[in-house]
Amino acid sequence: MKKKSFLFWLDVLTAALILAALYMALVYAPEAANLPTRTERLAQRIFYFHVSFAWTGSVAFLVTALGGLLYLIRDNLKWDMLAFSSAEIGLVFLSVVIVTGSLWAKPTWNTWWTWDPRLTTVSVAWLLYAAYLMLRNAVEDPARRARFAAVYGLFSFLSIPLTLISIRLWRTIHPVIIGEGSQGAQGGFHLAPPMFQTLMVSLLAVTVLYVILLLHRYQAELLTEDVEELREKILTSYQ
Amino acid sequence: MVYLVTAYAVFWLGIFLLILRISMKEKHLQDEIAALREFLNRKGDGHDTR
Repeated sequence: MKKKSFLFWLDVLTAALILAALYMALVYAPEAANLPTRTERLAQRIFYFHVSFAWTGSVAFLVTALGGLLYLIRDNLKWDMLAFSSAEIGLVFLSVVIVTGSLWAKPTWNTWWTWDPRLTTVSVAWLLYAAYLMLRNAVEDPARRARFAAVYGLFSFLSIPLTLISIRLWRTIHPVIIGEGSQGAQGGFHLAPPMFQTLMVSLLAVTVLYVILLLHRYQAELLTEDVEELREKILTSYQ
Repeated sequence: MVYLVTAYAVFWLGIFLLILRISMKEKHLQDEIAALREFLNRKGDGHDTR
């Protein structure tokens, strides 16, 4: 029988962690007692995965920036592959964060969307990384593409810390759960110990999910490189 | 309830689509590599591969 790979067992661990996090977010964590309606209290359970995906998405873009920087220093395309793989996953995570945030906003703020500082900065970050993927598709030469993407990836990353601190810099209705938030913030709640545990398990589950997705996506990039090499070999054999 | 269910559906739909895209890409590339290797081997054996 073929021996199962390390990646396979990591897949299994990820699935188990995700199931545990789901159970904790939907059953184990208590309702936020300060929220006035049952709809708001139920919608608050979006928080655990919303925050986990937002944090892990930020880590994904940090990996993109670091991959780009290492490419510029080492001139090795493998770093560019890592940066690209991470940006693609980060963009999906960020999209999920925006859509689920909007679903949470409706019962809490009574609107799907408002041009609040946090929502505006996160939209800018989303557009920057969507443009990053488009820029890559527009350049054919791999070395040129990697150089452009590395510089662009480093500049785009500025939008991520700005998004993270926007709720502390400006007046906003987006709640701050840990620490002092803006006075006009709506939908905030006190993080009880079981809620904190649930958040930590969700964060761990989504981080492991990101790592496993990154490994698979990076492996696909290595396979693309193999295909290019084989094609080149065939072409040169005909010359 | 509907907001919560929809939000969790969005989480997992996003991840499912990402997994699907990555695994399909991996499968497609593995098939392509196998086909290209076979082509090279046949060529090496002196077969007319045109």
